[in-house]
Amino acid sequence: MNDEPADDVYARAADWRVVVMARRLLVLSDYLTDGAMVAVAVFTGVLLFLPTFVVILASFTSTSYLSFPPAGLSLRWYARLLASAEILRAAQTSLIVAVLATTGALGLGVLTAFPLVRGRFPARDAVLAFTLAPIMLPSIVLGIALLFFFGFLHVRLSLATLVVSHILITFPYVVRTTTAALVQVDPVLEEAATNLGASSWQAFRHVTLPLLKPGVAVGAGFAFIESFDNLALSIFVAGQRQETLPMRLFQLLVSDIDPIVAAVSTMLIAGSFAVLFAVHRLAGFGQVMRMVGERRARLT
Amino acid sequence: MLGRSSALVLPALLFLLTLFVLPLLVLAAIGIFPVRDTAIVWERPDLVPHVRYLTDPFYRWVTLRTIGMAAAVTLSCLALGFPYAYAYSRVGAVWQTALLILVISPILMGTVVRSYGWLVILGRRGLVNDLLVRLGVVEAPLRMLFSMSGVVIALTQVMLPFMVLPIISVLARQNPLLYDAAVGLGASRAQTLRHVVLPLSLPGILAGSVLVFVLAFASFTTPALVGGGNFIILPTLIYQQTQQSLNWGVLSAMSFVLLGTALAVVWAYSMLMRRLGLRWVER
Repeated sequence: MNDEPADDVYARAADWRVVVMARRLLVLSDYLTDGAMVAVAVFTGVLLFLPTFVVILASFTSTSYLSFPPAGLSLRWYARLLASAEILRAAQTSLIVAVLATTGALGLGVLTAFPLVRGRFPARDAVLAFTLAPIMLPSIVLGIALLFFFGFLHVRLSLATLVVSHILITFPYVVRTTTAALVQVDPVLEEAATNLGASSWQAFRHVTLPLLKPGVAVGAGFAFIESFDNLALSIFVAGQRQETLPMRLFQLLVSDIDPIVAAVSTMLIAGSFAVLFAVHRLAGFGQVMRMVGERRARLT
Repeated sequence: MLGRSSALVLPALLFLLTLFVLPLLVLAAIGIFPVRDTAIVWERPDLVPHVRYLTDPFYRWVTLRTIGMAAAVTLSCLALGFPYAYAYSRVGAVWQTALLILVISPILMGTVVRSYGWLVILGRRGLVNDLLVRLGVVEAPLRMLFSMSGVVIALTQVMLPFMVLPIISVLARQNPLLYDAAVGLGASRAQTLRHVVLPLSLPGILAGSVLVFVLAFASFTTPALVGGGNFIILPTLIYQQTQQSLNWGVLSAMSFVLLGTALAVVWAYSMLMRRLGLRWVER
């Protein structure tokens, strides 16, 4: 065709049409690719959101099962929750354990963070890795090890065994966040304070601690949520009379799906937002995101 | 300088030694030495529990099932998480915040709470069955709870953040011009994904996969509730056996299989990263 000049124009037009077609096909395939990716991403988003949504909705439904649209709205599960002595007692236990464990974790964690950042001793990195080891282990293995250990020593399971076990899995978080914060604190500031006549305690209390506050707050928030939420360790090391809230809910769900759990769950969701908000006020949004991010790698 | 004294590290070391190292050593000893009543007989080591664990077809079946379940969760997290992370890297700042909050929302919920959500969704009278029956897709409600599929679905949601976040962090570090360059040179979106985005996110994909696999393999709460007594995996079996017969030796063997598998996967991952010359992705 090309050797005939008269057809040259048509040939080029045909080439051009092929190019346009190819271009359109490319655009179409781009749309299809984007469409498929967006569709999967939207589906993933729905999957992520669905359980939270369903739990909150179920807590306000009047029937004991959930259907769409809900058969009716009521607060009866909340009323039953407030009337349930068992659940309230479990919540109280969880709160006590979480407060005690957080306090212990804060003390031990902050104390350990200082030499890990400022000390000069052999194998400092190894010691840091060692303090973080408890949270790298599957909770269930740790739980059974502690159960056997306490049994082996004839230590009766009690509030104390529960609290020290919780300190074991929460203080690494405090170490982690406090060391990260402490690296940023210039020791020169403390020197200045002591040169101006402050005692070392005053320097710590009025200079170092305020600077560490964001890191410590995040660590405390972590420790609290981790302790309050823990099930896999608690079921092994809690005494007969120390049933925590997750343990109570677990028992309620193993036997039957009781909607009272939905009411408790909704309150827990609200509670975890309250803790996040407190951390946000103390440390800022960036720290909240970091805290959530850090909580990722937890083997439950 | 305050707190320079290395002696301050001693309380933590002592604490870890008594409540972490010793319990694990006791657990190991229970699997090696015979146990009479609640005391370990230190005389003659035998590996009876380990041998019993390894030769019993039921235990082998449960172990393989746990590995299969963890692999299924990892694959579905990858299939769903990669497009999500890709979408995250292509949208504006406001959407990014929304997508980030959405992806971390499962972590914010308590472990029992999110499992409860799935019980309500997947149950016989649950949301999915309600919808399917009403749309006429199925005649009788499907049995999704207390089965592998239910556990995989629920665990996928729980584990998605661990897959998405590493991929996001890897993609965020790449130069967006690479993407534009590929498109400018005439590559289709699909080609760009295949030859630019996918290879670049490989470190994140590997890190996320290892994390999800290990977490799913050792997870307890979700399989215990969604799988019930019908779909038993290694962690739930351990719990069940502590509730019933206290065969300490076999429990010890099971715990160390669980621990060993988790460590082996992480080790294989670090070896692989070294072979590929990649760095461990900051989680």
